[in-house]
Amino acid sequence: MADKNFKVKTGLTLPSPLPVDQGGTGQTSASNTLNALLPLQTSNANKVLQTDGTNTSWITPSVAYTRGTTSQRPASPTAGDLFFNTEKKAFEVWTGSAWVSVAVNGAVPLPPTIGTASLTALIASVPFTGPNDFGDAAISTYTATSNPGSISVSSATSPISITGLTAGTAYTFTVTATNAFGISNASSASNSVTTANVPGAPTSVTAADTGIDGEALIAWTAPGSNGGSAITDYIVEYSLNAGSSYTVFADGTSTATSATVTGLTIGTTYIFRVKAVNVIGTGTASSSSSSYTPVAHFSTSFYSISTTNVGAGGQGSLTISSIPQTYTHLQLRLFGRLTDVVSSGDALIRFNGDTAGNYSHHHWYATGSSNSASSPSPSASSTTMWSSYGGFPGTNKGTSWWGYHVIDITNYTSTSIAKVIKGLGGYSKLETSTTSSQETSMTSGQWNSTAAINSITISGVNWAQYSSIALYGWS
Amino acid sequence: MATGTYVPIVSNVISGNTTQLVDFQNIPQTYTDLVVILSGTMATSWDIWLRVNNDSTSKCPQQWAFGDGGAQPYVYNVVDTVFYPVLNAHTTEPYLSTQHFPNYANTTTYKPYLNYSGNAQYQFGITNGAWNNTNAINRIKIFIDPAQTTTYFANGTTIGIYGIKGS
Repeated sequence: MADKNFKVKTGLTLPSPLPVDQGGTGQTSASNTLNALLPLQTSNANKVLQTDGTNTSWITPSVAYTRGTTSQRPASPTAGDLFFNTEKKAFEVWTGSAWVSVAVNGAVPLPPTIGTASLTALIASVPFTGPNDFGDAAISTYTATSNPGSISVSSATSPISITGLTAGTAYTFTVTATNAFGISNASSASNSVTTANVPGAPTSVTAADTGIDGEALIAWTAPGSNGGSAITDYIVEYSLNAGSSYTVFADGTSTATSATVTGLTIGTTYIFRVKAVNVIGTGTASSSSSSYTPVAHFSTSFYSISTTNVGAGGQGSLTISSIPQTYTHLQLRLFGRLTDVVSSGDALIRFNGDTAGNYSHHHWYATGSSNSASSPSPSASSTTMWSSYGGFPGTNKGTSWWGYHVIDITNYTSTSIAKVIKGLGGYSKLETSTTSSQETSMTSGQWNSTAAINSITISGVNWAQYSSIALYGWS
Repeated sequence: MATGTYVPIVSNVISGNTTQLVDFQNIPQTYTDLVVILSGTMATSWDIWLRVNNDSTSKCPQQWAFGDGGAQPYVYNVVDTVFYPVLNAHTTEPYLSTQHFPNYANTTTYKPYLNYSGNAQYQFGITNGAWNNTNAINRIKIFIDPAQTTTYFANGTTIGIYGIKGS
């Protein structure tokens, strides 16, 4: 016997509520009257349509049906008897020789209302609002579908997340609603959203010596395109075989356009390349850097002893004490601007707290905007050593101009000879776009003491913020 | 324990007799001061120029004081687009120029410039100036006036940048 499909004639007005098994909330008793399910039409009333796929005919089912599992079907049915099969969740009709399923056509929901789609990386969020008219059965699920790609994801709630999108592609989305009787028409298409792509390749990769054995500073220019999403990291790779293969250097996560690579082997030739990363993934590699071969560096003999970086509160007198006696010479590097003088001033330097007249110094200086220089200016038996002669700008020079002096102190640990001091520095100020004023000075001095220097006091000035007083030692 | 510092960042030894420009870019910002040291001779005696961050505007007020054997040093105040590490670098007497850029990575202050240079026979000079810009210094270009097409850094000239880091 050919398969036969039976269905209620199109246009049925279905009862409300529907049977629970059909998505409704009522008619749960084991035996219910089907009258209300059947069309009240002049012809074919109380009939169902029988079809074998080619021919159709109307038959009149019984007006009542029973329900249960397959094993609970009526034992002695007559043609037209209806049975609701709770296992199949479908009506069945006895044709006289077999039970066949009866499809019931109810109304499907109206289309949902699409919301504004958005993207996070390659995941789309598709919001929607369910229809006011959900048809003749409760909506069981909503399905969002992408275009292109036809990627469909179903969910009972809004929004629906669609994964598996392709980078660099414009998408729209539609949503359908499904109830027990079928699938609604699709909603209108959403707004178009375009997924980001991976970043472009960085450019201008360079490798430079940092001055430290086994290190190189790799620098590059950010790619012209971030792919539509912010760059989150750069991957630095190196090659030991002229680019045949690369190894990633573990430099952590950073968006800086330079990185210091360490652990390089002195004498080995490296080339470097860089890749940019965003939320989508890793972009193509840059062109490689020029070849770089780390070299061994000389051992530094210049050491930082003390650095004072002046904060917002300024800095007055300062003493650097407990100076190590392990170097040959000292170098004082003074960078600053003064807040307690109007035109220009000098730092006063004392060693070991000595306030006696044991200092002598000479200065040569050029000042102002005139093209002239002073004669050497000797000063003997002073109670302090001058760092310079008017070498630091005061308040009338504005806040942008700074003086700088390098002062060398030789043989500071000697307990046999006096200590010689040499200083050089000045400041320069742009008065207009074409004129300037400056002060340049050289200092030569001596502390007439054979004591080793173990403390230096710098006084007589108030340093402005960003000034720096640094003491170094070298051997 | 004191920290060792004064490290060579990059050094360039001129090879041949065609180089008129040495351009150091992407200078690390990790030191306190920069020191640029030049040593060598010239094919034809001429000044050596230094430009910061490729800034070609007149933002370099400076004072030169130099002596060449006269009773008094000469002093000039100028505002220019470059600094002058060496004036009249000689063809046979090697010059040595030591230039300081304190606080070079700071982005708040203008940048002082201090240079002392000279050679044994002809000249000693000091240049005291500033680059009138608060940008951090990340590029130093040392070159010869492009109009001087027949002179260049002589073979063996060394130009290096060193970093000094405070504690």
